[in-house]
Amino acid sequence: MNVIELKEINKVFHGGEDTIALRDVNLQIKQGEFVAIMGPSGSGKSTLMNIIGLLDSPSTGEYKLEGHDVSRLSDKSQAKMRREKIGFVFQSFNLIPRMSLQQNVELPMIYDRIKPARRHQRAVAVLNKVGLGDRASYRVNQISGGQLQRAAIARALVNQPSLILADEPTGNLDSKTGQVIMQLLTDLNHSGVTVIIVTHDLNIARFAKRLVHVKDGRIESVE
Amino acid sequence: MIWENFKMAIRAILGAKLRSFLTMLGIIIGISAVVAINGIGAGVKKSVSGSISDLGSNIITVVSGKTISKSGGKTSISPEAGIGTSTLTQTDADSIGKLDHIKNVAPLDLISGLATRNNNQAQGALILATTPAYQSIRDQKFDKGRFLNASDPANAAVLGSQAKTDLFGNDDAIGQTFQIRGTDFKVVGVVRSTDTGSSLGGPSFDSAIYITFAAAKSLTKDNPQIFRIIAQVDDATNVDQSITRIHDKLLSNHGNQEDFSALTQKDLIGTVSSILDLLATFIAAIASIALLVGGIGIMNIMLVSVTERTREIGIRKALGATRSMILTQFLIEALVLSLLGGVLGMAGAVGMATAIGHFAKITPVFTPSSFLSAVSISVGIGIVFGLAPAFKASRKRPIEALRYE
Repeated sequence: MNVIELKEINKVFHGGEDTIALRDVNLQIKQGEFVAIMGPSGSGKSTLMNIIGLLDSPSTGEYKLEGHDVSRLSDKSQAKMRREKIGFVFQSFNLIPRMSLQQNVELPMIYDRIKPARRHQRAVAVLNKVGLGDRASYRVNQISGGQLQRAAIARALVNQPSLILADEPTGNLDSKTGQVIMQLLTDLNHSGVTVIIVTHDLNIARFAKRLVHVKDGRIESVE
Repeated sequence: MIWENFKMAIRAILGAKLRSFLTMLGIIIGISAVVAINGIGAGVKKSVSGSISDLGSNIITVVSGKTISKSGGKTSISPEAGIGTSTLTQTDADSIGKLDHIKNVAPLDLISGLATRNNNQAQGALILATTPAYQSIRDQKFDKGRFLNASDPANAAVLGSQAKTDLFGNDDAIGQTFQIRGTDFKVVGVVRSTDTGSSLGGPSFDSAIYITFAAAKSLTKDNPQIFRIIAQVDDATNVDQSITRIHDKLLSNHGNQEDFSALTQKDLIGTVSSILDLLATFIAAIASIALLVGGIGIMNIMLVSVTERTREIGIRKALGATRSMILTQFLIEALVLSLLGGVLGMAGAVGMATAIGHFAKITPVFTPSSFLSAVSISVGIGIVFGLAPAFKASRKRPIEALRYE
């Protein structure tokens, strides 16, 4: 089954001068795949990622997520899709500073209206899974970058999404820590989660089973 | 969800304690001013109505000038109508005494003058000339001696407890003499302190000095001014009827000129209340400006905070928060900020009113309703001024918010 089906996706940014970020993009990603979207900066790979993640809407074209057409959903339905189907991992971790790791991990469950007891239990379980069980009460400024990214992965996993979207997940980490994070994402993929990463680093992209090259808003090749 | 929002709000507020406190300051000042003035006002009202109702519910007071007009159930006052040469006469007092249901009637003259004894002065003493009937009406308790009676010589005098202390200190005053305008007076009684505070905001009865009409006549060269007449009705149920009769009688005495007012104790309390209410309204108007400024302060800081936390908003949206969830979060944060300011304001008000009350010898009275209205004002401000920042936060687009540095 296709988790993601993009058909003739175009994205135009209107400004002083219109910029075409994506041109006639067609892409299918199946359940359980591990895909790397590669391309130089300004190629449109991040825009593609944002559209897949429902953080942005395409100008034209059709996007089916798990068979549902989500190209033009209301804010409320998009938010619901994001919290139920998609887990994000960002280059700059994007954990909220004032809160502990566990509070950060619980946030998607709060928006999903999950009862506190269940929430705590699930947050602890998922932090254990990424090897941060003993750091649950630490604050964001008390731990290292690699640990932050693992916490972010825990947060992305906690609502059991069908899709993990990782935008340059190792971009702010040294290569050794980067390898650890990639191994974690690979393990997740082996357990059945569809993983899509965006990167410009071939060493990182190698972890994926399929590479999608984007250039000037077009998909150049799929290998 | 709402509870989670409260926890988030408290975390955000505690995360920037000084800023939060400064933001709340306008609300703290506004709320504490309103609550404190209400507390003091209620305290004054209680003390004044206490001292007035001490006189009894079957008492009618006639004052000079048309000081009170009633229309549509509301009593409005013009105190200046009572200033100047009194229009009340001994004839008025006599004719009131002859009416049905009137048990006792006592005219009161207010004599200007300073009571002295050797080097002691009874400053602020209220020198009142009256008749023995006054005691039947007031039923005052005495520390020593008794009130004036009919067989007393013209120079007999009764002292209020404060006036006695001023003139005689701790010495026994009975049988001793003091002077008013050079005339000797002999003390026959000392009234026990009433401890109900002042009457109508004027001097307390504790500093009153009561002298006879005969003495008043000689002090004022046969021209005593009757500033009020106090009449006692046989039963409280006959008060309204007697008011009408007194009114009609005096109207004919005064050639149909309504240059006097016959008042019940309730009217007097109403008069004081209306003055205090006016004052409270005035202060509330000033405080509402402080509250407005406080509200704008909250809005300002929340707008800054929304901008600073753009990235956080982006993260929350990426994690699945809807617009309305973000709106609720920031609205509740503004509300908690304002409510916390209100609570601190109330605490400040209690402290302030107690301190003022301590110096002004008033016990402030705080009612649950004054706290309740302070809470609802705070909540209202939080919602009204939190709405714009919360709306701004909720409208941020997730990708732009996530890119914000």
